[in-house]
Amino acid sequence: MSPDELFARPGQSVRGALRRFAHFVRQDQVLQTGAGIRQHRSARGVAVIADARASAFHGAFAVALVGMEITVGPGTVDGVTPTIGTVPIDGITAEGKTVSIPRLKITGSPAEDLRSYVCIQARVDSKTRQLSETESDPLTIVQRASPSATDEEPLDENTGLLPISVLIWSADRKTISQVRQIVYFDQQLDIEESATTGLTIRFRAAS
Amino acid sequence: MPSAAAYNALIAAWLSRRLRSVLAIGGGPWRHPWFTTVGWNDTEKRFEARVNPGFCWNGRAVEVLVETRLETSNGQLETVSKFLTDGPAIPLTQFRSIGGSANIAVAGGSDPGAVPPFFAALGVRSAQTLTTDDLDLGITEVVAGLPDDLQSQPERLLRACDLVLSHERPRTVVDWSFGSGITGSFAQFKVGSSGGLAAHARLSVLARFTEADPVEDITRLAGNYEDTGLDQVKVATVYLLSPPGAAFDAEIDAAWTPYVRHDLFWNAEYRVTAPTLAAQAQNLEVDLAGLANVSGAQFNINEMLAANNDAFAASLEFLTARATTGRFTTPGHRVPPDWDQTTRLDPPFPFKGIPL
Repeated sequence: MSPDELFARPGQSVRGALRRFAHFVRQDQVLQTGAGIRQHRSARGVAVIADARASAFHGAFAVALVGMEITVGPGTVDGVTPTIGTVPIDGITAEGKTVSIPRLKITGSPAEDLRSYVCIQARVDSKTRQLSETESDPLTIVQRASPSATDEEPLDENTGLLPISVLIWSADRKTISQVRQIVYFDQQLDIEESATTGLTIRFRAAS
Repeated sequence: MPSAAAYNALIAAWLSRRLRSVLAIGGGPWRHPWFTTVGWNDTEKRFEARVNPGFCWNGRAVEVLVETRLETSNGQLETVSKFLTDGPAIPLTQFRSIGGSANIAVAGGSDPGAVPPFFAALGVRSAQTLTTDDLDLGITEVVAGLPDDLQSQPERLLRACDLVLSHERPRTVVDWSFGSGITGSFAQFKVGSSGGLAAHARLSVLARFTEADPVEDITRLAGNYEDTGLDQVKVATVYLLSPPGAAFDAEIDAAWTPYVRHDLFWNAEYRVTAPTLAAQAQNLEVDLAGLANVSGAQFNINEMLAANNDAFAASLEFLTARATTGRFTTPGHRVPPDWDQTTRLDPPFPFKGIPL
């Protein structure tokens, strides 16, 4: 029966229409498409529950775009939480105080391929081969046009870089159309030094 | 009784608030990097794959390139390289046959392959190889077999192709030269490289991906093989399953059903040993004083190295230290946990973090 058939003609008794309506309601069903949906029917109505747990995985360092700023979800490198400005990305200070989740303002423009990168930048001590203890924030979140050292964005040998997400810009180079996550795990640093290549700083997923 | 107008207003209000349907979007399984979906392109009359972008960090770049067919401004189709993050459709045009769909195979020809349990449960027959009496022709007959309780069902065909992640690197080049001096014969061993490191990893489609066999040390040392300068890892296999009762040579069309089995679940990292620049290529002189019957013109490296353990060890160490090699690593596993492979192709999430 079509819903159009439920209406009564002007001046007509609604008795017949009511019978059709009662029949329509009894046989009416909610069409559901896709997985993870449950319906609870009761005398008071139908509750629809979408079970989206399977999609809830974000992993570490999940980058989210808020206008032209980004936030970075919780994650650690060698057990240390990186910072944006001087605030840890999870919004919990060294003293255990909860503050606002810090945001990194996106500045500059993308590279020619309309990409820029959100990276973890690590400053290390070549002698101890550990995160630098002389700097207050040896792990910081930065945004760059390139995920590696270039003439425009050089890096010194005590600095390591790990791209955690790529920002894909729109053709007008003013707005960001997509954020794609690259890293999903907490990280640890591998720091090696050789006579030929100097200091090599690598990140790898923490085991 | 209410008037028809009042009743109709009530019905209109109810209809406008009525829940008609619920569509779940994004409520399915988490889509990991390299998650591949396959659809039919009715214009091009072919299946095409779309891959949830995965990344491969090679120390300089993370984006992965893929070849796709795009229409140019003058209406022509041409093959161009696009970033995977641009969401290109990847044409699937070459396939291998698996199982009973390959009814006849010539000995030494392509292997019809074992039918995965998932597809055996859907009615794809395994190929049973029976050798005919006519051995001169070298013909092997492959007979589609099926458990007795499924023999009455019409056969379903299975075709497959592989999505492969590749990275080009400099090739290792081994060169020997020989001579003789006051104390006897000597050989000079040189290890160099040619070619460059590609800027990006590349995703491509192969009818069949075969992992490269490891090369024996003696073969590497003698330079009797060509280093391709290409490292590869399988990302996924796309299967196409025919409707029941398809002829053994049936063409793939929209009626076939695509399935994907993934091999890579996390973003990859590609590491390559520092290439030996030609200017920096170093020589190793191997003393052949112990080999009395060596002549420069008829020099056999295998015999020389086999006869001289010290020379072998020194040369191998020299080569290993200077050869250019590349390797993919990922926190995703490639040895999946046990799961019921008759009911699903991929292991259940979460995919464990075990290095390759």
